[in-house]
Formats: sequence, C-alpha cells, structure tokens
Amino acid sequence: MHDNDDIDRLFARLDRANVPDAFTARVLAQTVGKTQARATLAWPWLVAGLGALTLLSMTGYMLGANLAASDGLDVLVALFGDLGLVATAPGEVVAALSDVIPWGLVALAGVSAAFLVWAVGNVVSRAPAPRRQAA
Amino acid sequence: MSAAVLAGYWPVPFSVPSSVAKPTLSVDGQHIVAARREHPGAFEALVRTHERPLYNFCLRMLGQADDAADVTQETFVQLYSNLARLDEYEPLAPWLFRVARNRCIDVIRRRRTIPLEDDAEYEPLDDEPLPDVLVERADIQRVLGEAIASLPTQYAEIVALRYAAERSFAEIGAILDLEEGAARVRFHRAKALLRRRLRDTLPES
Repeated sequence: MHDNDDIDRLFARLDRANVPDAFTARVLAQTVGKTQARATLAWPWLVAGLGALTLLSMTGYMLGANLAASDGLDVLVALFGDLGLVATAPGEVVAALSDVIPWGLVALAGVSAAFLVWAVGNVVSRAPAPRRQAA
Repeated sequence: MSAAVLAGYWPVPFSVPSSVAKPTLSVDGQHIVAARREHPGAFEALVRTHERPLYNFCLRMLGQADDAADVTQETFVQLYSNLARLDEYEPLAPWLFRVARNRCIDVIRRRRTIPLEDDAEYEPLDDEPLPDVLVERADIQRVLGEAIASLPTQYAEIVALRYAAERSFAEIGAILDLEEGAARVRFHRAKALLRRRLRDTLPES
C-alpha cells in the first residue's frame, strides 16, 4: 500500500465546503436556546402559581372566618350530621346553605385553586430537564 | 545526612498512584464539562470545532447540501441530549462521526425503495495510474463528488471520512469499529474502486 498516490493527490483538490449560513445559530437555537427559553418561560408561571397559592390561602382563611362568625358552621355540622335532610327537605337545605355560605369567596377559592393547578402544570412542563452527572 | 534519616524528618509527599490518576481533559472534554454546567459558549465551541468536518462527511455521503445540513444538525442535537452520558475523557470526534454515519445510512436507506445489491466485491479493481487529463478537467469537483457517491456505502463512508473529513486511520477505525489495519485495507480497496469509476468518466480515446 503506497501513500500519497495519484488518487490521494486528486482528492486533495476536493473542496471542503463551509457549513451553510447561520448553521451554528440554527443548531444553538435547537439546543441551548430551547433550554434557556424553557427555563425563562417557567419563571412567570412559577410566580403566577405562587400568587394563586397565596390567593387560595387568603380566601380559604376568609371563608373559614366567615363561616365561624355566622351560623354557617352550625348549618354545615347539622347537615353532615343528618344527610337524610337532603332527601327529606331539599328546599330547606338549599335555602339554608344559600343564606349562610359566602358564595363569592367560594367562587374565588375555586378559581384560584384551578389557576394554581394550571400554573404548576406549566412550570413542570417548561422547566429544563434535570441533568444527570456522568459516572 | 542519609536519605533514611531525611525521610524521618521530611513529610512524605502525597502522590497519586499512576493506576488511579485521571488523564488530563482534552479541550473537547473541558467543553463537555462546561456545557453540562450550562456555561455560556461551551456548547457553541463544540459545535464550531466539529461542524465543518462533520458537514463535509455528510455532504460526501449524501451528495445533497440540505440533507447534509439536516443530518449534521441532528447529530449536534443528539450530542446536546447526551452531554450527561458522554465520557469527557474519551475523544468526542469518533462519537460524533458514528452518530452522523448512522443517520446518513438511514437517509440513504429511505431514498432507496429497493435495496441495492452490493456488487463491489466482484468488481475488477484498477491499480493503473489515472491520466493527467482528469486533473485538468474544469468540472473536477463534480467528478470527484459523483465518484464518491457512486461507491457502495461501506467504501463511500471511508473515502468521505478520509478525504472530506480528513480523519486519521486510527479515528476511522474507531468510527467504523474496525482495527486501524482493517480500515487501511478497506480504504485501499475503496481507492481501487474509485480509480475505476474515475476512469469510466473519461471519454473513450
């Protein structure tokens, strides 16, 4: 086997092409850029989730305080103590609940709980994948 | 004062046995470690170091710039996904070329709806020197590219690694999972086939 023969000399003239324009940028956008974008996007959702959690805690506290200050807790205790009331006097039960339960706070708590679940879901899906260290 | 007495006074220097001492990291290895820590510019340095030889290898394997760019990009995306699993003490180039080669073969297979018979083993080889007129041809780049593309895959890849990606035989062996000597033998046969294909491009005299 002889080195640097006519084929070697001929193929030494083979053009070594440059990579296409913006190739490196394209690769970085597909790799490093994606991770950074995902990490960046996770932050607003994290803040939104914490906001929703704070709102849920506050409305929960206010709901409890409101029920304790009114007859609401007594009504609920009586209702859970005798669930048969729902079947025997449904109209009375609905009327009592609508009187004592602060529905605005309940709605606010529900909305903040739903938003919390949504925000947490986005934080988890957008956060960069954890990196394993090589052994 | 004798050496034995001195040894009693002076602290014994701590030395790591050579069997457990870690080899020094190559530049690629340092970039891999830095890229794992999301150090700005580390992954870009890896891409910039290897993109041109990888792209040229893919270009000669596939013959189309768009396909070559796509395969090269996919190779770097795979590198990024595997940063945590790579051994930073191992050379990176053979790993990259192995990935690119497998992807090129996938593309070639997708292009061929009917598997082609590999009849190169029965093709008569050519060791006669080529005439100088070939070198002087204006379309020499096209002729060389087509000659590589006309080879069976196992020969095209070794020619592309040697001439387009400018790899050593030791690296080619690592990429193709061959002994260095076997890589040289396969390359020699590929050159004989190339010579024959190139002679076929010459007008009858």
